[in-house]
Amino acid sequence: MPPRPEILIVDDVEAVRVSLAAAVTAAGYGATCVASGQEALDALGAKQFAVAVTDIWMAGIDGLKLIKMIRESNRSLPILAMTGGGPRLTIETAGSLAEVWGAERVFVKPFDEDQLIQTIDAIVARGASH
Amino acid sequence: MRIAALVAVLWLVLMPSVAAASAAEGARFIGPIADHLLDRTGQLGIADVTAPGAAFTAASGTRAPNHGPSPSSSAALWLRVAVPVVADGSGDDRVFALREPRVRAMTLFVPAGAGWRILEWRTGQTATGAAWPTRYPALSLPTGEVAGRTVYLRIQTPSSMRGSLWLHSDTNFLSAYAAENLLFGIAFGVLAGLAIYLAAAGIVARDALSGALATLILAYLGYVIGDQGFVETFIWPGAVMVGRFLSFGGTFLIFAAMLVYAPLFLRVKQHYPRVAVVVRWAAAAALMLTLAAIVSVAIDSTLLRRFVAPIGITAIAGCLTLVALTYRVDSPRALVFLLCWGPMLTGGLLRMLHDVTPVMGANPLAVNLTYLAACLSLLLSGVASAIDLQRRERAARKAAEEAAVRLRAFAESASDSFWECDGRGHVTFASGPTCLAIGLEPGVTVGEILARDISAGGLDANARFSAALAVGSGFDASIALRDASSRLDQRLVRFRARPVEAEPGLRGIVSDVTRQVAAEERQAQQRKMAAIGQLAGGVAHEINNLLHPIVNLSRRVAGQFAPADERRKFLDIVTDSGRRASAIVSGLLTSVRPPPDPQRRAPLGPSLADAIQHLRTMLPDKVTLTFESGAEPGPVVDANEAFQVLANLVANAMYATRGGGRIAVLFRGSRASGFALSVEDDGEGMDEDTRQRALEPFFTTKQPGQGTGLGLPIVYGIARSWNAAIDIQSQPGVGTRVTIAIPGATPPAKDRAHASQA
Repeated sequence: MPPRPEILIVDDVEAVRVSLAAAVTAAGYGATCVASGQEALDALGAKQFAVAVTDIWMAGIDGLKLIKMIRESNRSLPILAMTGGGPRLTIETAGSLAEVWGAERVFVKPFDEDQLIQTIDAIVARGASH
Repeated sequence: MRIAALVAVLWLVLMPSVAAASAAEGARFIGPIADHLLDRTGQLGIADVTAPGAAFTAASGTRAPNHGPSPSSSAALWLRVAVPVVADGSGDDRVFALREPRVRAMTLFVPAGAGWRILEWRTGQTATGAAWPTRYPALSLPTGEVAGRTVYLRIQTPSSMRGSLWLHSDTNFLSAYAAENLLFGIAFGVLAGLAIYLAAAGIVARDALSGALATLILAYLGYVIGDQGFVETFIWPGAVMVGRFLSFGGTFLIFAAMLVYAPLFLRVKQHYPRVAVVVRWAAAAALMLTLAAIVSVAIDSTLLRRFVAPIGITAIAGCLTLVALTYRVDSPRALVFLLCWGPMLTGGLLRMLHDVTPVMGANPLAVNLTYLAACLSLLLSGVASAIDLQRRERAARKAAEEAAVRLRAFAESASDSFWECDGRGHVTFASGPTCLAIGLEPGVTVGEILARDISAGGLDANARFSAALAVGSGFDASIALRDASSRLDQRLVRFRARPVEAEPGLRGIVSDVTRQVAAEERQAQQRKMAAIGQLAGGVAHEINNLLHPIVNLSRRVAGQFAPADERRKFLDIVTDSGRRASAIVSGLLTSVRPPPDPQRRAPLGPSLADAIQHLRTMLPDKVTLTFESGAEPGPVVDANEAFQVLANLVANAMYATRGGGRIAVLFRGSRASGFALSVEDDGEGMDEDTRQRALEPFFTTKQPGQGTGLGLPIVYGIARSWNAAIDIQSQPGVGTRVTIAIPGATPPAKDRAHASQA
């Protein structure tokens, strides 16, 4: 049996991490939850992930910066972005930038987590068929 | 250039006439045939000079003897003249005339038998045969007593010692003397008149050039009157000292005035500022020398006299240098100066060279022409100056007229208007559209206009105006005047004024600032909306982060219960509430920037009916909420937006009724005429100020913590995206009605995004 694909979840709000982890785990994936961009980079250095799901607006290394840094070191890791908007970026701007910088899709909170799981399934299936 | 031409013509015409008048005397200049002897101490008598071996210098035959300034106050010049045989046969007496008015005494020794016949002349004496005293020595003898004989003359003078001796017949002398005096008189009259005109013009026009020239002319007149013996002979008989003061002091005053006048006329200061400074110091030095000269006359010192010629030559050389410098930058002006002053400068130079280099001898024509040349120069300069002054005045008047015309044109075309009032506040001048619009015109008082102020500070403006008028200070006040033609039913105008110079009153502008104030208000509104955008984004982020687990976790847990399970229903309500809260958050963002959401669109009427159902459950029992809707469903809009609009309006109404009253919601209209949604309450109402500020973001009448001040602005934002207008009517104690009017014909949904950007 192949190992369970591991999903990296990055969000500075614990409740969001818990909710997403529940959804991901229920769908049969492994979930690694971190609360900041720096922790995400550390986790990425330690483990292999099938998909990274990151919030955009966080303190310190924010989601956009994280996406950029991941892309610089690891071109193939699929990234999904989430945002609830923010004082500096509108949802639309953040979403389009995330896409420009390499996120596959941007989800606007609160979103239906089933849609996120469907997207992850598709990415994982795509990776397996290769 | 016209001045240059005029001056040239004057010179060419006048100079020969002056020269001719001076020469046409029919007299004989016997200076060149005089042997001479300078007695430095004044000790020698007739016996000494007639003794064999007396050190006479032989006559040159062409030049008269000349010794320059007297070496001491007692020095004397002896002349030995072999009088020629006169053959005019008229039987007239012979007159020995020494053309030097500064000579104090002359003694004529004529051989008579073994001894001498001695004739003496002193200042103020009447010439033989004349009815008046002569200005210079003139002694008369019968022709037979002097013809062919050798006579001696002893001359005493503190001035230049020259043998300017003439031999006349007495008739000839009298007529020549009269003609000479007449010529001087005419010149004096003309020059005095010119000086008075220039002085008056200089004072009135505050023109330094005219003043300097007037001073120069007067100094010269003083000098000539003194030097030519007019004072002690005619004006104040015997006042020799006065004449000397005038003559000697006047000499240096001429230098000083010339050193002021020349740089002014040549505009040296503009072209060579440093040179101008040097010349100014030179002029000051010449002025000091004038005082020194007066003192030296008083103490009878001849020291300064010896320096007159070098100083004068230096001054003339300085003037000529200035002319040369000016010629490089402004040649016409330099040429005019040369034409005007050529005669005087040349004459002055010749005259002083006589003193510096006595060996050149005395040329009476040159010495005497000096005066006439100077008169001519002064006259020409006066004319040139007068013309120049007239031209400058004409140019200044023309410039002033042009400025006035331009100013009036500005005043009539500018949005600022101009006004002026006297010390009592009566309008004396008013021009421009704003003055016209507010009725500010001669005859009314500024106070009347200020009294019509309907803004809160009305009395204040009037009080400040009175104070400014009373103490003569500036005035700046903005007032609001009722004006039906203006968009806001009022016109905002700003008065700014400064005290009128030298008399009571104010002068200034009045500007219509209605548009400016409206624009400023719009800008402030935009800044506030941008701030809301920031805040809304931040709030939305925080709330969405909270809503995300609420919606998802409740749904996840709900899935674990059977559909009929009550716990599942409860969790579904949690999920649904979370989604609704999320919609409200995105609605908040809509007021700044509406995101497109095509899935949740519905006609406004049914959406409102739906929203009413929800709202009713949230309202306290004492509040009655009624809803009336027309037959047409209304424009298709975002259902969330419809809910937000109604929820905010109803919430405000509920607040106004203090939790107990009637709220009536009305929606009616048609596609053609447009729709109107109104929410009316019978609450406490608003005063005018609150009503005007109701749409301002963050403006709230609620206690801190009870309201965000964002309710109506959100409604406003959404209404704008519908192309709708908001109207608020309110009366304190009666109630408030907010109406959202959606225009017909163009479906608002179609141009929504475009309208929201407008």
